[in-house]
Amino acid sequence: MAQTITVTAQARSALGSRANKRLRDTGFIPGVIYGHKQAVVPVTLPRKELSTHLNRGAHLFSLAVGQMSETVLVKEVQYDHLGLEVLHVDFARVDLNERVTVTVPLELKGTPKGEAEGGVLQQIMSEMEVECLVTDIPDIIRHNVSDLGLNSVLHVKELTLPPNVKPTADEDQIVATVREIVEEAATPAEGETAEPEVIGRKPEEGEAGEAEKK
Amino acid sequence: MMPKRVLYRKSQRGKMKGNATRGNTVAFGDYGLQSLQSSWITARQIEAGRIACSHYLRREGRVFIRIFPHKPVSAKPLETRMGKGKGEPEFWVAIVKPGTVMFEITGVDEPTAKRALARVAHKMPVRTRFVTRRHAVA
Repeated sequence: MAQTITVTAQARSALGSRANKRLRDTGFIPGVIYGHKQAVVPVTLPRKELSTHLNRGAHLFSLAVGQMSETVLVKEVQYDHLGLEVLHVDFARVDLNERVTVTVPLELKGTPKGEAEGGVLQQIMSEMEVECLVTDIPDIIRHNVSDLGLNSVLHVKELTLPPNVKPTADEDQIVATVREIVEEAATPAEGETAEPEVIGRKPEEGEAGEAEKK
Repeated sequence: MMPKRVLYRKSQRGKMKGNATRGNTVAFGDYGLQSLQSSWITARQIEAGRIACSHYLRREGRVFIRIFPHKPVSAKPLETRMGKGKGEPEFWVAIVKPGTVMFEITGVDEPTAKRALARVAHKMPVRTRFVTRRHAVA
């Protein structure tokens, strides 16, 4: 279950992209707290500490901003183009008795029976949106797939979820399959020289033109 | 690899400015090969990467190719004088920017995926890095 992680934040007065760039250069991350019809509070957070918690999949934080302390849920994390550094974090205020919708990683354990018959386990859904109490957010949903045979399918309804956790996805949505991999045929060499069809161009024109030349 | 239908046969060269803002996360598989430079990747290079990867994996795992050569590149024939119009389309390329995840693998363990994608990286004209899927927390 999700634990509340306490992080010290500072209220941020300098706004805008240039101020935020300067902030990031000094080892901090800009963030914002909103929700519950209260004022939007721009904050500054320590990058190293926050990145560590986010990489471990933390959802719930207790942010100490000045003398105030707010329980918040991570709403959005922005990363740079390589996905290495956190650029900005959005936090939404939450009550501990509130039901929220969060995305939780889905991990499949075990080797399916179908792999012995030549199949390959394909996990179609690697994370799942669930609805639960703030205090009941699971860190990860694990499911044992050792019973899956060849050409069998695992649906959302077959997952064993912790109590008080409901999936928001359709019950019949596919989570994983065990299928034989059909290798794609290599593209023919003559296909490389052939030209694609041009949309809106009549093929007769070219042919007619050639005929005239002859 | 090339499109089946196109609106125009030839295209201008264009510029490759900035970083990848889309297609820069591992979306289908568990591991990926991310470009660190911008470049044109030809259809032959993509195909070479696919073959290198699938030969290494044999029938294990699944490979996803996240880039497609949409752009035609034209060239003039040898020993031709300049002018007389643009050359004929010669090959097709995919435009790759820093951050683009080009190949993805699923169904194998991390060391195997690393070795398979290293083989793909040798076929690519760009510097690359191995990336793993990052789970969303929001």
